[in-house]
Amino acid sequence: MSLVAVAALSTAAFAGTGSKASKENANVKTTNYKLAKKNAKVKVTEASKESKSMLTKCVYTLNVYNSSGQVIDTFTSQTYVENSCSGFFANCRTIYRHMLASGELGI
Amino acid sequence: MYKYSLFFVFLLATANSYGQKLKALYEYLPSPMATFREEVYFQDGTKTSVRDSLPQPKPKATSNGDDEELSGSMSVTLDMGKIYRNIVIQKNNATQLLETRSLKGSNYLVNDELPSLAWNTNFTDVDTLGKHICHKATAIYRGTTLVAYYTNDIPIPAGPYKFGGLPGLIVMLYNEGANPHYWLLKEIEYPYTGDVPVNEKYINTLPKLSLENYIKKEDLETEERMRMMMSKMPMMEGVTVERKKVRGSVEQVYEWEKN
Repeated sequence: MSLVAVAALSTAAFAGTGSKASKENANVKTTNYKLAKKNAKVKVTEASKESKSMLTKCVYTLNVYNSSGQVIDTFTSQTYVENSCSGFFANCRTIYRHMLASGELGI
Repeated sequence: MYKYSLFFVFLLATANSYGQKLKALYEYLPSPMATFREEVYFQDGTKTSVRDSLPQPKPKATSNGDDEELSGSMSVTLDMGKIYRNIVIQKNNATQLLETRSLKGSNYLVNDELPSLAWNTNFTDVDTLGKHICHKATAIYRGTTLVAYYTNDIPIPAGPYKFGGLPGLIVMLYNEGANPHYWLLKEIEYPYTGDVPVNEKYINTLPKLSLENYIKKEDLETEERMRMMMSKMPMMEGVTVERKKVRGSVEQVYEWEKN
């Protein structure tokens, strides 16, 4: 299950910025366990990875600063992977950079 | 007669020191993201602090970016609109001070009823910072602990931002906590012969706000921007996104927030 997240991160992420974003995530904590249809076949290959005991927890932090250089908010993205967190970090970085470049973070 | 002469010389020296102007330049680091230049002027008991609106240019990075590629974090700076210099004017160490602050591209004159700083100077620590022999002092300030190092070499009760009231000039100051701010003394002109580059007439024409109203407006603005950002965060299978509000200013808890 967890590797699905990593594998599907790029596509699901960019798909999620459209209509789903309008939900105005009222809850500060959000978790999405519904896969987009186009990623369903990836899910099958990971069906046996249910236990988190052998997995590594990865936390990616986005620090937000104001113009005065003061930190005002942090966003943490957390998941579990089988091996190294580097793939997850790289995906998060790519997503945030893409969002920054397209002005989707309101910056 | 000799005693009287000595006393007269002491009085003269004290009066002369009080009348002399001082200019101190501090480097202000609110976070690893930015460094600002802050000038402090002191004359006849009035302290004026002027912080640049723009951060100092960063030195060119020596690494090739590999560290960022490996790290699990990223930093972004929000554009909060046009920002102005932060000017703090405090007269005769009074608890009421005036400061200018920016919000949504406008400049405001903010009135702050500063709680008095009760400095604890009962420390034996003596450190040499630059060419100054410094003594440690601590004080509780709006939910945080200030740690200051002051020098008796310059008997001026001044320091950066809203801080002062010690027997000598503050050479270094920081607040304890998860997001410490640092002020480091870089240059001194004492006596200073120039003028204070602040136009009080202009400052007095600015729209006025109490600090409480200003902070509430600023918090609302920040909250709105962060909610917008949160709503645009991509939803990813198996990935939990959490938002954590942070008050990254020196002040952690204001007087009106205590109840």
